[in-house]
Amino acid sequence: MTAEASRATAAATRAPFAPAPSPASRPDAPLPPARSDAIRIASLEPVLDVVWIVVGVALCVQAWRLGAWSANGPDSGFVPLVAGALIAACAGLLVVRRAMAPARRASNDPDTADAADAEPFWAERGAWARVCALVAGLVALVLLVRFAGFITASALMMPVLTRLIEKRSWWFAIGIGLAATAAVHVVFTRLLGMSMPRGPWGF
Amino acid sequence: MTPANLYYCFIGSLVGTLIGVLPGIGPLAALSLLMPVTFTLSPVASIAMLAAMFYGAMYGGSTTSILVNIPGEAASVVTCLDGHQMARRGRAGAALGMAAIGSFIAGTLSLVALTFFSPLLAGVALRFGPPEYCALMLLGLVCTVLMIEGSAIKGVMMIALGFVFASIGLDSVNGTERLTFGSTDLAGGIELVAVVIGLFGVSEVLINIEQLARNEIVATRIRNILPTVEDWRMSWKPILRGSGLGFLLGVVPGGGPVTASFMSYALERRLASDPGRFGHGAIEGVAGPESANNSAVASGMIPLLTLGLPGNAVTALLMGALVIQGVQPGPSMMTEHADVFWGVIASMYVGNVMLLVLNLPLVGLWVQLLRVPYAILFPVILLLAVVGTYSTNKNFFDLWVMLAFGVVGYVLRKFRYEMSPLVLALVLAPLLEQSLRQSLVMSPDGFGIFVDRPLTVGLLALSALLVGAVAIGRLTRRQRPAPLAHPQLKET
Repeated sequence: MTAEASRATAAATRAPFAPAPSPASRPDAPLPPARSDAIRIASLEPVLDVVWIVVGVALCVQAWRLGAWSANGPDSGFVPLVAGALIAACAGLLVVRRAMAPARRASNDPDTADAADAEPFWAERGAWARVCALVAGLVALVLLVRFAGFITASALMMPVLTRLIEKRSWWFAIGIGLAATAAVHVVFTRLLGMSMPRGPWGF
Repeated sequence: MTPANLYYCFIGSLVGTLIGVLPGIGPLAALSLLMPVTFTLSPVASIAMLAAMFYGAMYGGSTTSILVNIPGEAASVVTCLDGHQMARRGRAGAALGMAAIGSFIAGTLSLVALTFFSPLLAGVALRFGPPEYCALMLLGLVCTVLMIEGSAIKGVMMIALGFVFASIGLDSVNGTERLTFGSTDLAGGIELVAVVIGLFGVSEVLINIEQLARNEIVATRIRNILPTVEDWRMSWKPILRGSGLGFLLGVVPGGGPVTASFMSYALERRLASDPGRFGHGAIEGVAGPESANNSAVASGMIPLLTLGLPGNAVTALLMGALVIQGVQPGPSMMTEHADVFWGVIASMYVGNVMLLVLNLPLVGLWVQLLRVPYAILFPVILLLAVVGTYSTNKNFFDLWVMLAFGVVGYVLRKFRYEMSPLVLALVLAPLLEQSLRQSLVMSPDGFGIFVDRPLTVGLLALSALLVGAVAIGRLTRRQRPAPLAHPQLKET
């Protein structure tokens, strides 16, 4: 694909109102290439709808067991029952509308426009890796905060996350990570008195 | 207004402007991250700081819209259309100046109206009983769904989901465990702070790291920030119209700054003698929407303070902060907590002046902050999320809740589900359920109580009318794609 076609494709998948990534603004980063292998949001919507239906039905079952109504009026299960029924019904409505109205897919109907929406779930190659890395890093951070204390956990994890996400040098990542840890610790725990967990080393 | 409250109002204004200017963090995310900081303050200082952060973000959001063509927050989207074009024509200063001055005028007018309107509305609300509150909250939820520019069905699902999450824990009436699955952690319910930090703070970082584009700033040296006489001639009417429109849309539940700014732009374009100028640097396209969004912020406090009914996600957060402080917003607030009520209003007057001072002379500083790379921002945001969440209850389980909602929020936003209805429902659900159950307990004929009382009938009829009118409207016309529902646009 030519550079111009790549830029046009990038423009089509870019967030609205975002500036055009001209070479002048991104001297060291190539434009995201067009991705025919990308997973489209449209292909995942039906899966999500089925998940919603299952969740809604499960909520209704759970709420029914609690008891939806008593002699005094609504019981503990009333609100979860209504909410679960609404979720399942709305998801069913989305499934039905998508299946029975192919013409809507060509329109801008927000309930079914996803079928005409060619937007990939992850617009850039490598985006899924960054997101997964950040989630994994946050899980590790939360575990470390509990057992090693806030300062140790953040001093260890922030450089790692910065390096994983930003792909810069380790010196940059360590500098930013430690600076962020120090800044947050000084402002929020020292100056504002918000207490955070301490590790076995006393900090 | 004590010196301490003025100090926190200033801090809120400064942080709010910073939030609005810095791409990568929106006002909802910032408010949720910084709300725990305010728990150690007095109620007035807490709300003054949070409210100042919110309307400060409205001021600051226009800076990135004008200079970088990226809206600092959702209410500044339309400012990109003409503000950025003005910047490209060498008139960035005039655009920034008019945005700030228009915001100040509109904010002040809205606050004056709030000052006189609130006591009247509070007086009416004193006659409200549980049935009226139930009907009013239902109206609020209906308006919220109807104001969604994307899928209304998805909006209803988010409201229902908010009710589900609010149900987790102990039933407040009979103490039964609901949806806890035997977990002692869940028996205490889900902490609101953890939910909002996850939904708006963590999920926003997840969305932002997908694309690491760099921003091209149009003008790095800003000159002539004071508008010319010609600019004023063209802008004074849009400012007044924006102020009025913003005030009305801010009061309505489900409305708010975003809706106000869009409608103001549409109105100005329709009224303009030469609509073709819009999108090419028409100063009315900056003055009107920026006035409208700031006016809506002030008037959005009216239903919160007088009725105890938050109209949008931000006021829902403010309500949560007030309740945590031991202040129940509503008609009795003017009598039981008059110092908090009038203190908050006074702080907003002062904050409005502070923001004008911060935004005009310091615009050069804000421009430099636009260069801050996201690589520096996101570690700070994540650490703030952890600190803010943990410090609320000193409970590690809340950190897992924050993380879970961060992932859930990220996925749902990718599929264009809006998070604001979920948060609104999360805050309103306990009140709505309580009002419903109280109404039925006091009623001799069950649901008949909702048709026996004129105010309740009126509110329910209004809800039905709105649903009917919008349903007919949507059946007969196509929906435009909603930039608000795009996951990379920060919600307000």
